[in-house]
Amino acid sequence: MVMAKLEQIEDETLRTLLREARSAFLDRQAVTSIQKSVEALLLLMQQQPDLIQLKRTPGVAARVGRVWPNLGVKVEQEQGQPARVVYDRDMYSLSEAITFYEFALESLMAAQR
Amino acid sequence: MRFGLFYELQLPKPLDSEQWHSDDEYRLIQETLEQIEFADKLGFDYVFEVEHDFLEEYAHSSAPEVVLAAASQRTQHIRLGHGIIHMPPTFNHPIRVAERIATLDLVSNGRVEFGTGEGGDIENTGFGIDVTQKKAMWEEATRECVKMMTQVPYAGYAGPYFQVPERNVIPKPRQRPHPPLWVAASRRETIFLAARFGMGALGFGFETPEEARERIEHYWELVREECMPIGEAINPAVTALGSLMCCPTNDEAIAKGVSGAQMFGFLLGRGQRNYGRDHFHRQFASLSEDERMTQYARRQGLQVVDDEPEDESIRALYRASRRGGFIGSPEFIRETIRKYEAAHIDLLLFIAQCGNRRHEDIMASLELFAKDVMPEFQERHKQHQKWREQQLDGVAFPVNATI
Repeated sequence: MVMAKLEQIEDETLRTLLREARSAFLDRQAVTSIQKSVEALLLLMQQQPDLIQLKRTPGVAARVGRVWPNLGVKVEQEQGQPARVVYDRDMYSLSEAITFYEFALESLMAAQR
Repeated sequence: MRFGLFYELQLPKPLDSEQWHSDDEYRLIQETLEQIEFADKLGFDYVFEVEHDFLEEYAHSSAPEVVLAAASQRTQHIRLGHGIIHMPPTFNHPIRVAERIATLDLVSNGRVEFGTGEGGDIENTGFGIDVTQKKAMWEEATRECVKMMTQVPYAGYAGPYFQVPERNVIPKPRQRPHPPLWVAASRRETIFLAARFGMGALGFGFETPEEARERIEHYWELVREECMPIGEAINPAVTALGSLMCCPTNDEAIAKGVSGAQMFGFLLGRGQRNYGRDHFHRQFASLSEDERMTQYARRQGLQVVDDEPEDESIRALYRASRRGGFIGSPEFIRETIRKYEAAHIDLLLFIAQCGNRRHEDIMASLELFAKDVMPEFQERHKQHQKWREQQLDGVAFPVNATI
């Protein structure tokens, strides 16, 4: 396993989005940071639909593969329709922003492998 | 490198009964205190105890502050760690956490390590907490709890998850500005969150030395470059966790230790529960040797043979159920620890008490480990401290790590 780093993301659009996500949480702008990470993740999911699982099974501690962080940001996707992001709250914490950023970074690196 | 013990207070139900016998929990607590007292005499540096609610057989440790307070009166040197306290305010109001931590720190003459975390889904839903907000709750409560320990008076706070008017929260801890801060870090993103918040990462993911090396390197980069401390002093430190049974021969250690590790993984991986009615020990006892190591992954639809599960949480359970590198002879264990030492792990935490391991075997294992394994690494600890100083070069924040 190689530690994921921002500079290693090959896709320029995705790299830029994550750079903005990082800058935002360092400026303590958690909501902006999460929006940027989620935008990158949605683009990634268009390219590789099976890489990330959107939901956990109730009562099961964890599942196979990468599971979308259960932090009040949902992705709804009906067949044939573009994915839609639903934010449960107006405010998010710095720790949630960092979690989304790290999840996005690791997912993007996994997609490149 | 430092060494510590990690306690869940596991208590499998007796196979001959539907419920525990009347003195089983009493015996568990008393034996745990004996083990901690003995570990202190043997030179172990830390003991961490979990806080878990409702997780029958897996963890009968819902009031660690009481056990740690008792341990403080039977020990002299060992650091007393919460591993961790559930910080969402509905679990533990931040004022009560600040008061309890400070009091334990006074009772123990400044030996508290303040571990924090969010709690699992079974626990959060048991307390009526929306699990999608537990991380935000953890951050808010931890940030404010530290201020309660340091501000005179505490200025008060009105946030999304709790509100407090101006009050002076007393007593204040013996360690100033506050005891070292840790966060449970089962997954890589939490380790890097810990670095950015200036917290020690209590690694519960059963990382290999190779994984640990890469994560530690990046952890320290983040401490230097992106740290936004959640407290008034930072506690840069990374731990790793493993199951310990040290015996004169590998065969004896495997015979006495592997079943406990397998049961630890089995119990940890239980998702749905029938509260008060499950008998996990019986379920575990009915499994074949192969099933004991892979049951959890199979329940997730994985056919595990040689490949490890991709998801970190499942992988941790999978590894927890294996022999690992700390069940064996002193020579076998030393070999493993040298790899973690080369990866610059600060603290190795051992699960000594787990499953149906016998108290006598645990005590003998601790003694042999302290006699035949620990000295080599204690002798080299100054080199590690020097390495840590180099990592901290240029870091402007106060540091209160006890490594």
